[in-house]
Amino acid sequence: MPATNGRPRTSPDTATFVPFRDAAAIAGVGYTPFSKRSGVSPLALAATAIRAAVEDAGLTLADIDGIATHHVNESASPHQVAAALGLAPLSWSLEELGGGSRAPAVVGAAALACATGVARHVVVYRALNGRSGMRMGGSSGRSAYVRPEVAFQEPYGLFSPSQSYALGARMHMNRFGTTEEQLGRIAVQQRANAVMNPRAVERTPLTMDDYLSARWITEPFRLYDCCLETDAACAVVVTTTERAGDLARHPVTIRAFASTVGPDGFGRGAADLTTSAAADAAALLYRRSGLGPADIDVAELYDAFTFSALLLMEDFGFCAKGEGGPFVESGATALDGSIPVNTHGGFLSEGYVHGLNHIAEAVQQLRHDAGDRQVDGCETALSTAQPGYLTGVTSAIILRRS
Amino acid sequence: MARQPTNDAAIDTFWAAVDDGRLSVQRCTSCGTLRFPPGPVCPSCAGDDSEWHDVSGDANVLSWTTTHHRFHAAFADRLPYTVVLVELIEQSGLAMYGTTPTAEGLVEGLRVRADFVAGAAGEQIVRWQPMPVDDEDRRSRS
Repeated sequence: MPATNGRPRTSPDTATFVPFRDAAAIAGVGYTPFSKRSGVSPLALAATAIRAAVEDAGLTLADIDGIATHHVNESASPHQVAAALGLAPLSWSLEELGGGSRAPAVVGAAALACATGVARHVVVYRALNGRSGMRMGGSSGRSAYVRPEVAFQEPYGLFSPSQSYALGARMHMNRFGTTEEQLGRIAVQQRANAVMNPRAVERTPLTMDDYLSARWITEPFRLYDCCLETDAACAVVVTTTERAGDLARHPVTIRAFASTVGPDGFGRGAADLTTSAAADAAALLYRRSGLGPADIDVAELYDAFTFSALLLMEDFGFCAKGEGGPFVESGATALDGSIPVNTHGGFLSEGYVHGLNHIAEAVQQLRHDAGDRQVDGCETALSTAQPGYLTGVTSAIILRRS
Repeated sequence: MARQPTNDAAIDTFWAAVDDGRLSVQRCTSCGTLRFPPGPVCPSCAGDDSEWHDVSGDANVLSWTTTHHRFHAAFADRLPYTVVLVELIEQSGLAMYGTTPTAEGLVEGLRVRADFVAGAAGEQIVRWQPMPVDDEDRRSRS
């Protein structure tokens, strides 16, 4: 067990959080095209996605008084964006360090800023040349994160998040009998969703044979276990729920969010890589929201790898610990299943925008605006960050159709 | 290629011990808790002081991955190679990475022992070797 200096592993104080429920809303979403080589700067990508999100909300840039992003390596800073779009003076901004762990946390922070009157309309964005620039996957020959552990990993050839997640996947297979085919089902199902998503980078159906015959990246991960790396930006506009009601789109409220720091699983406290820090975030999120896994209609789960989506299904309580493999195999997570997962195709097939594209997809599902991949009667959606591997940092958000 | 000093003395101390054929981790002088990777404060008791403590080099396998993709030029001629994560026998949750000759025969909980070999850049690294069966027999009889 990780040392905690006697502290409880999550805050017991949730009563004060209740007035925040559904006080803020997402009023617009915007994207750039997704590509392998944008040919423009992350700043230009950010500007395009932000203007699209503002227009989607029925606002103008003059209405925006707050901006926020999260970043690792490739990014456009708030001060650059503010200057490029002529947004100054702004009343609030936030630039969080972190990639896969932060999108729900930053949207949640923007919601807090709006709910408390610190800002009226906040744009949250993530912009990166994730393929043509610095690659998160490690193929640039550098570890994507600067962490003390890197000094004890790189000498062994451990450079890529795929390798760290592979250690977790192998342990899950060893302990619970999870199979390669079960991981493959996640890749195949998500590709089927992406076929119906005009934004998606990969829209050719994927078969189990395709999956199993692809080359190894790092066992037990083959090519299609690993997400795309993408040049793209995504943005969402956050405001109060009251204000959103007067804007162009059906408001999607922020029911609750949770942002936690737990053991990273690979440094101190390693031993069980089959349960992640996200389990603590899930407990906190469900308490704060007054909802549980049975209330979720759509789950957009962080799928840097097939296995991370499987781990999050378990840690957010959609199935019991260890049963993620049979759960996926049952069809429960397919578009017509009991809890559709990654309805846009996820990072595995839509593209990789560090989690903000998962939140934007959840918004479209809740607006009943997701085209051929629309889940009928979608009222409540969950979106999660990476499960807390690598850094111990994770976050998640529950959104509702107002 | 010589090992380059870092700006973190604790990292340098660990690798200097490896160069010397020893596996050493920090031990809190207040409560005795071992810690790796090194850190400035004891996460169990918040004690400031620590000393370096040579461990036995015996560990149990937690997990492993065999890498086929070329992430770095220095490892191109070693592909595929296996990275293993082990738990040192001295303390629950005290984990460490290393290289291992092959993934064949690895299972969670397999007892391994550290030795030291040249890494991709020529520097000394830790290798975890499955313990010979007769060696394990001796241990169980003792």
